[in-house]
Amino acid sequence: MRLIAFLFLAAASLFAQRPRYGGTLTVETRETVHSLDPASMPPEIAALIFEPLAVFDSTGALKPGLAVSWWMRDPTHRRTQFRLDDGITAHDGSSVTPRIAAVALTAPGRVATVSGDVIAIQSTDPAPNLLTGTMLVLRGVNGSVQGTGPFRVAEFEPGRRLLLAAHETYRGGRPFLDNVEILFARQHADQLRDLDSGRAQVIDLLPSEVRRQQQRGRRVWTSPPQHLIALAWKRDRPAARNAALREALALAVDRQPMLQVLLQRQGEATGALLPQWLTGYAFLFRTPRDLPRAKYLTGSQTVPRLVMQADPSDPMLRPLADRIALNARDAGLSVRVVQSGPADLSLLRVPLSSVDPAAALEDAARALHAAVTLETLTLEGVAQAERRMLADHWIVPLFHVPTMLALAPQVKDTTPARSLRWRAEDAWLQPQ
Amino acid sequence: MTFRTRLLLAFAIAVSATAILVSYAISSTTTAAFERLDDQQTRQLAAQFQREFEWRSREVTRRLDAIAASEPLRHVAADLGRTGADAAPYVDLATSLAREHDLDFLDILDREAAIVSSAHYPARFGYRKEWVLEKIDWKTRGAFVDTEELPDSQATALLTVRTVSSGNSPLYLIGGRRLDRDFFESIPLPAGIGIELQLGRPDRGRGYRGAAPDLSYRIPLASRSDNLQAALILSGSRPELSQLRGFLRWIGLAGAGAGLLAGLAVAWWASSRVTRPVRSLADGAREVAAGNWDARVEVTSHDEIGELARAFNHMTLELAQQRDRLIQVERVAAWRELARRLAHELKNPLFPLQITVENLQRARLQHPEQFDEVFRESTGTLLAELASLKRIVAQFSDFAKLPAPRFERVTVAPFIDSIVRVFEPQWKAPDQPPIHAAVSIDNPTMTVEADPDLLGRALRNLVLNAMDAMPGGGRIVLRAFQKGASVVIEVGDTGAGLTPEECARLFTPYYTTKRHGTGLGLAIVQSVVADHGGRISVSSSPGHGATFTLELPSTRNHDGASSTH
Repeated sequence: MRLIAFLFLAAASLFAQRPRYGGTLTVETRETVHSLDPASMPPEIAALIFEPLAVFDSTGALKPGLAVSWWMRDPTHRRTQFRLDDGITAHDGSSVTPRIAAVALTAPGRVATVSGDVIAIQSTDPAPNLLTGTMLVLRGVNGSVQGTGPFRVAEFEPGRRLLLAAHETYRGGRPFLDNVEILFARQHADQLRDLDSGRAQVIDLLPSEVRRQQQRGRRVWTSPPQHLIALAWKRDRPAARNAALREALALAVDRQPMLQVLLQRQGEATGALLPQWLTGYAFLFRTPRDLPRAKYLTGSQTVPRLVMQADPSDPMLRPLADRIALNARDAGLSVRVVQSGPADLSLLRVPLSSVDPAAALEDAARALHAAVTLETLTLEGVAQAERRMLADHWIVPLFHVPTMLALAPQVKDTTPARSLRWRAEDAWLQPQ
Repeated sequence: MTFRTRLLLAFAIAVSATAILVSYAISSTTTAAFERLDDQQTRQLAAQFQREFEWRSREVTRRLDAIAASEPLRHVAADLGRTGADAAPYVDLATSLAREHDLDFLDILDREAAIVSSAHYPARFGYRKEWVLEKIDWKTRGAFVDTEELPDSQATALLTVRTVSSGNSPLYLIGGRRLDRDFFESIPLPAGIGIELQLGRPDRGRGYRGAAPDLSYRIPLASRSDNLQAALILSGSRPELSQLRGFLRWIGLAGAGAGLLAGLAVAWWASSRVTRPVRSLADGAREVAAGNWDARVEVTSHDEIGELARAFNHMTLELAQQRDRLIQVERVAAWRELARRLAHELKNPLFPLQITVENLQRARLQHPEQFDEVFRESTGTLLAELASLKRIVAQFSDFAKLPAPRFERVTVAPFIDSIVRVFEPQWKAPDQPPIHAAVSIDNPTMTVEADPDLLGRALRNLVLNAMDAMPGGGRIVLRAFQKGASVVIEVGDTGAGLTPEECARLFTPYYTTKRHGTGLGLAIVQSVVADHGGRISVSSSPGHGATFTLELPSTRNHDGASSTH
């Protein structure tokens, strides 16, 4: 009897763990999407609709995506050749042939040609990350945007709502979920309320909310630290051109209390642009607080009142900005935090765009309005470029923070550990 | 300034000052009375407000006590009391507690006074407020005023402190309400009463904000430290009081204005009434001075002015009578003088006549042979003395019947030259003592309205007198100049001069200092000058000659009166 009961429970447990098809997963995010251009939407959303030619795995190795094989013999990285996988279907069910793909991949500054089953892309500028950075965007019969990813666009209300439906003939297998509804521009408090009420199953989470959600029995998914929080001076502002002020502010910031209290130890303090897990050398960029030196630098001159802008749509940044202003005041700097308008410097959160250090550094520099010169694409070259970028304190890296999501109990998934994004295509809804 | 003007000013000042003082006194007294009453009311209001404020303070304390006694905070205190406790998870606690208990400020501090959580300044976690560790029994200490730091500013707060004990690690709570306009507006006050919070340091004086009120009442508040003094200022800018004060002020001004006008009117009437008889007296005196000896002043009162008028009338009557008597006396004296002079003048030629006739008789009787010669000499003497008699008669006749002047415009310069030319041959005659003439005319075109014959006679008489005064020769000065509306003609000599007594009698008819002469020459001059409406005077001293000054009006009115300015 006891054995039967045990077997029954084991079976029930197994049954409960097995993926189930169906259901609509509602995701709420503070991000907003106004266009179905994959370049303008968060990568975690773009990855549901479109697929790149190749992907990096968790170890940073290049793996096949739409392309199964490729070769880049051009040392200038202007020419890339690859062969498409078989069985690629678009969201409308049509097969994606090399010719169709070539047409879709042709863009200003880039020409794709087909020779047999080999697609060659000739770029005007060097494109070393073409395979991982290019998503295949197709046009349907009616001109609608479609991809080859696990979900297709069913409904789109720019800036408000995106409804994705499962791609039935997805080459990687139909997703478990029938639909993924993504609600954009949702305030953090509204997301929490909807999670509590069951209206949403996946929401963004602030570091201060992690413990509370865990205490409520909700699963919290965190990625590796992949968002850089940094201060970036505006180079056209007179105050920014004062090197002593920049150094004083960099030395005045006390990262540890902010990491422990405001970020609730979610993430890591850093002095580097790229995270330690990506480059392995981030620890070399030390970030000690030197208040006496900061005071010395400010005490020897007339210090103007600085204005720091923190993005009002990112609730994580304002408390950090207020604390940085307080640290600056300890060093004799007067900093006023604003949400908009002219500012001498900005507090930004920049997502890691790639697991390729060179590509990530270039994208980070672009986001921080800084120039970067990569002499080589090697890790050493990246390190040197990063050091040059940080030399004059125009950019002050502060933290690397993860993506944090709160998941309703019924949400199950097989997202691999250390994944940079939570994979909705690998998720299902368990009946409650 | 005339007497009437002085009187007017004196009356006006007296009446106006009295009216103004009375108005001021009344309005000041009334205003003070109303202000006292309002002050009393304000004090009552202040006491009421103070009670209300204290109730609000106790409310703040009660809310903080509620937080301190709440379960979450006790749990936090217990948690943070453990060794190695992590305060990070409670960084947002103060925000939710403050919102729940409607507090503007809430800090939760650990045993070392480091901020664990701050509702109004979340970024200040870890910073310390060491003053909370002072040896003060916060349980009994009521609410106090302090300044709280905010991210971009400072705020004034009514705070209280509570301790949450858990083992050996107390938690400190600092909570309160913002002392701003909303706080004070939540306390009911009558209309017109304003409230301002005064914060200052003893060495820096007042930190008053707002406009100066009509009335103010100060309510001191407890502050955290002696370096910060806090007080509430109740300002009673009540519209009723302001209106009343304004009304009283206007009443006072109106009263003063009315008093001023009344004073002026009374002063005008009084001064006019007082000065009218004085003016009459002055007019009467002027008439008397002008020669109207019959001028009388109307007596309209029985006071001193009436007495003065009666005295004036009596004076003029006496003066007229005395003038008549004097005229009679002078007339008699003049007749006597005339008779004396006539007798004297006639006696001179009559005696020689008599002697001559007696000589003729004697010669006929005693010396018939010399009778023809004696007859010739005697007849010559008779004829000379008869001529003298005829001259005397002619002078008297001339003086008696001086004609009325016939005026015409006479240019002074050539007129005087003509006088000089008449006498020049005589002055330059070789057998005569030399007489030098000096003529000085200011303005060659100067004219005077005069009778040239009469004026010429007068000037010739003066020149003759001057020549008679210098028997040994000398200098005659003729000078003419404009003096205002008059023309002055001076005739001076360098003779023996005159004594003051002689100067005084000089113009009396028949008075002469010469051995021979009728004494009518200067009288004729004086009569001519008087007919011209002028004046004649003499200045002289013994040994320094004499100067006769004729002052004649330049023009005459149509009625014959001289025109002067």
